[in-house]
Amino acid sequence: MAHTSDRYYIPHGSPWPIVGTVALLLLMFGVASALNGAAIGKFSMLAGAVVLLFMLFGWFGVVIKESVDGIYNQQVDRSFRMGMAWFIASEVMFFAAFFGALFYARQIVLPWLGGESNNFFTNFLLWPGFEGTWPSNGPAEIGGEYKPMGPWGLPAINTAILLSSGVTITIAHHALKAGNRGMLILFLGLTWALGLLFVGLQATEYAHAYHDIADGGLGLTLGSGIYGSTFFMLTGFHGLHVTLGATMLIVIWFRCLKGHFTPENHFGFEGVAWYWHFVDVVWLGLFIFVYWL
Amino acid sequence: MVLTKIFVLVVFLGIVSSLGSAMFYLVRDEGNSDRTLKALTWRIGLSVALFASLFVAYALGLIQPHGITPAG
Repeated sequence: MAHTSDRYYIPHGSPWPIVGTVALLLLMFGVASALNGAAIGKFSMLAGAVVLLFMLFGWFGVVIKESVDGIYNQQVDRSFRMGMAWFIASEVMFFAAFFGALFYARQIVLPWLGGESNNFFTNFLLWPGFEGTWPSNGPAEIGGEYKPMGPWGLPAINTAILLSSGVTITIAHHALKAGNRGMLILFLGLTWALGLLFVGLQATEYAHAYHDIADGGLGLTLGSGIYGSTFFMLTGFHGLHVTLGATMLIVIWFRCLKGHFTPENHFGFEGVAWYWHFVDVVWLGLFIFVYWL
Repeated sequence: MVLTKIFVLVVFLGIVSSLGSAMFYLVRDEGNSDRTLKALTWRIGLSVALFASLFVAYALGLIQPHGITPAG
């Protein structure tokens, strides 16, 4: 169907919303069944995940094709940009909640339990002798014995890797604007490779943390009191975002190989590049606040 | 020590601001300017500088990472 340039583009007869609905139904049914111990649970979850991936692949494919065919006008372009801004607003809130939990526990709850401010009797009656310092395994050593993650070694190396990927994506961005395809493809490829390296090293770090101290590990788990829970919640969700970001970079890399972007028209690239910078800044914040400040 | 921490915090706020302004230009300029790319270049430049200065500050004894033993 033809579309005029001044009217909003409305897609026709798309099967993808109903496919997505089926995927979410299977996923939620699977999760609920698995939580109740039903054997069908994990199969339903797996089926839901497969259908969801099928939907994402198919639907995004349609959107990319429509974009390349030049069906979209300026109004659609604006709606993509607004969508990106609101998505990022929700992401900021998401991480703000976890960083907030870290600050609240570290700067307020622990000192109070240790008797600071007007909480002398909280400490005296409930947890005599407990010192509210960070990192803590909580009153009565509820978090068990563990060693906190130090800043040297993998965390510093991972920061260097992620910052390098920030440099390479910026070089790729400049290359795209300058119309230099070779540089764009090389540096964008380097960016997702560094992203995958980060995820791999993070998995190694987790394995090291989860091993008992007696086995040469840190004995640090999600159950290691407030330090363990905030550490794994923040770094774990960040790792998930790096994985998603690297996946998006790979998709965009293939689109660059196909020549989908021009120096003037490349919102898909710019959105993903910005997202990668965002993930990078969250990590830098983690590195600074968890280890240094 | 406190001054170093304030310095780190101020530079980090600069990084967050450049990232935020890049998002603003991404929406506002609709791809018709270089402002997004410029802001993102500032973002990565400041980040690399901050990371490097953390090592320098540590070497000079101006900042210490957190303790390595949990409180009991």
